[in-house]
Formats: sequence, C-alpha cells, structure tokens
Amino acid sequence: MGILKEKDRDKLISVFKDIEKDVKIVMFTQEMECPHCEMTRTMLEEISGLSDKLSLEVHDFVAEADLAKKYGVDKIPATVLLGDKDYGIRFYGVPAGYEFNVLIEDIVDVGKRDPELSKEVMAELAKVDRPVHMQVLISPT
Amino acid sequence: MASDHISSDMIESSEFPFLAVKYNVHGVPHTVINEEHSIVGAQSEMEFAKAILKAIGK
Repeated sequence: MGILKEKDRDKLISVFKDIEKDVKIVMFTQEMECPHCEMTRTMLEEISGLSDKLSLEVHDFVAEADLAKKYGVDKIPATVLLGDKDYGIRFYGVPAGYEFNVLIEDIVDVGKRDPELSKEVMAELAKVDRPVHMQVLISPT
Repeated sequence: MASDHISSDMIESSEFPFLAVKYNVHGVPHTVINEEHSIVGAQSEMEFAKAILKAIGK
C-alpha cells in the first residue's frame, strides 16, 4: 500500500509536467529505520517515480557519515534537493501536511531552475554576500 | 536558489523537539536565521529578504 492516494498521484504527475531539467533527491536514513525515516523514504520513492526528470538516491546516515557531512546533514530523516548544483535546500522530518506542498513546489522550482521570486526580492537577495543559514521550524497540520 | 550564500532547512519540529526547545519555538512557522535571529509567523517574501539582510548587518 502506497502513501500517496491515486488522485494525489494524478495531480503530481500533472504538476511535475512543469519540470524542465533533472532534479536529484538525496535522502538520508539508516539501516534500522526510524518510523519517520521509513515513511519519508517510501514517500520519496513514490514521488520520484512520477516523473522521468526525478531521481532518488538513498544513503545511510551512519555508514556514509562522510557523505552526510558533505551535504551538511546532521539529523534524519533528511531530504536534499539538487539541480545543476546544491542550492542548500534541506527537509528534515517527514514532508507531510503543509510541508508536503512545500516539498513539491521546491522540486518544481529546482526543476525549472527558477526560485519564482519577484525581481524586487531577487534584487534584495543579490546583496547577500556572506553565508546565511535559515531554519524554518514547522509542524504538521 | 536565489543566492549561493543562502541555505534553508525545513524542520519538522515535532520530530526534533530539542530544536524547538533550543530556538524557543512556541508557534510555527518559526524561522531562525544564522542561529540568532527569529521570525515568527508567515511573512511576505520581501519581509524575509529584509530580515536576511538585517541578520547580516545590511
């Protein structure tokens, strides 16, 4: 039994048609999977199967600690979205509820290589000249 | 994506309660910039951009 419902799957297939370039989803879990890790992995497996532009790599947080460090992943379940480069997009925890929509939007934005921000906001962000790390804490709805 | 300097984590606070405690999270969304600056609640994209610049002293 899948996590995504039939109608969700159909909707996602249609939303993913906007993806122009490949998106790689990198997920960190561990051998003895926590329930949230298993749910995240299953969900990402189902999502990544809905477009040929999407690929999924699953890694072991413990056995591949160096790789986790490379991606700056310090907790699991962790989901990393990659395009032509690493844009610094990470999801920690099951991307369910409201976060699910954000994940889908981010996948499409990365697939379009377009953050979909206004010119004015882009101009402000162009002034950023040193590392900024944002952490958005949310909860399921 | 808009800047090579910016990275962003979405964190499910109920799965990582120690972070909710660390950052004194009472309501969501709660955004922490560079460990020090907090924004509570949903804001416009421009307000987030301004908060980012403020956090780096611009």
